Amino acid sequence: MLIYLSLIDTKEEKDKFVEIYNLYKYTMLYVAKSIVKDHSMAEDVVHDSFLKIIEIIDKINDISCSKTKSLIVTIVRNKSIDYIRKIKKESNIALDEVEFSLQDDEPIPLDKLINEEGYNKLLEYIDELDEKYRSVIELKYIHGYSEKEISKILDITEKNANIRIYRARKMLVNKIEGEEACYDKSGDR
Amino acid sequence: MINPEIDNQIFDSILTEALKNRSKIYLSNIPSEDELSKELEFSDGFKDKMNKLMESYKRMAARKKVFIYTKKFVACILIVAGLGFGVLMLSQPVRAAIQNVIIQWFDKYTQFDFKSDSTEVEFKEYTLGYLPEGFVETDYFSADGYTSVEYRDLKGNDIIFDYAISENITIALDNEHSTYSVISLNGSEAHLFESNEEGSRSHLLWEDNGYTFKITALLNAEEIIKIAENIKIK
Repeated sequence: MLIYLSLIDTKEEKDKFVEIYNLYKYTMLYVAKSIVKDHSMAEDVVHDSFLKIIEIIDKINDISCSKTKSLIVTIVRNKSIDYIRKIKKESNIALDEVEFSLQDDEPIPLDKLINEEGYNKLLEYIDELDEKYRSVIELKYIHGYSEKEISKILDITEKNANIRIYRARKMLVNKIEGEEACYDKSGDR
Repeated sequence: MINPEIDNQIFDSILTEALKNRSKIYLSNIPSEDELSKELEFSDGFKDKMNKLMESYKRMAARKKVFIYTKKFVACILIVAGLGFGVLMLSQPVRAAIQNVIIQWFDKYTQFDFKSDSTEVEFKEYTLGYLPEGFVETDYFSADGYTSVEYRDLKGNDIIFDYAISENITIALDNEHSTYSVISLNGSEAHLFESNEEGSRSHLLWEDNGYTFKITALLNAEEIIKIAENIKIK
């Protein structure tokens, strides 16, 4: 049972927060700065990222493991992009309002993936994905988070998390097939 | 294509492996914290903000201990207090409120289990429309559908205004040093724990529109009720 009126519940969790701060603050600043390109803005991003980390602190167990570092970096990258979006005041179409079928499954070209060249291509295609798509599949496939958990980490709706995962996967499949994804232009929140 | 489902599973396995490898490469390209600490420096403003954030959490945790107990702990007590609780369930105040909240009385505290019928409660921010003279906002915290705002006057007296979406919330309030009564608050039923010991705070707890609210203060009941009656959406 979730008890809402407790955020940092125990001494261990308080220590956990301080430990995360001490262990990753410069990494977080480095990642944020590499995206927002401004020291002061990067500090704001790090602060916002810590607020998010506190929300999900119960999901963090081993602070020093690479999985935790990866999660923290994902949060910072997303917060950085949110920050840039906010500054640029980009108007995004809410994907919630976009009709989108998740049922049109196409065959997956596994034959193109089972050799080294295909696998390396897949790595390249993952690199080419927009951050918002890459983050959701990282959280799903590396960290094993549910769509509900992903929505909480990225401050998006559960439906958008679902759609982003679907689209990210679909874009990769299309690229492997040699097709260009044609629906990657609309933003979402 | 052997079977679309199996193909999907194989693709997911390859994708997982690729993502893990990519992440490993990406993370290994980030300089170590030690190296970065020599290159990067945080501003004093940032350090102040982070210190405040940490202090705020420490206060939150300390405050929480006063009225929140873990479910595990309560479960142990329930076994002992089961009979008393059964009798209590027949009493009027409990039965009247049972639709939204289950109230359980124990020797030293009363536990409220708030449930919401809907899990899709829109997040709203509330504020106090009335504050006794001399009080100003001194601390604010909001995350995960829960908000806590602290107000203080120059003498150090505080008013704590907590609210959260009523989705599986458990709150336990001290009933040993207070007198309990059910009052009507803007048409809703509210639970007042009026302190009967000097220096001990009173609590007012109620549920409204999918939210659970609580005001804790070292004030008389009339003043606390007045604060509660004047809560408004920000």
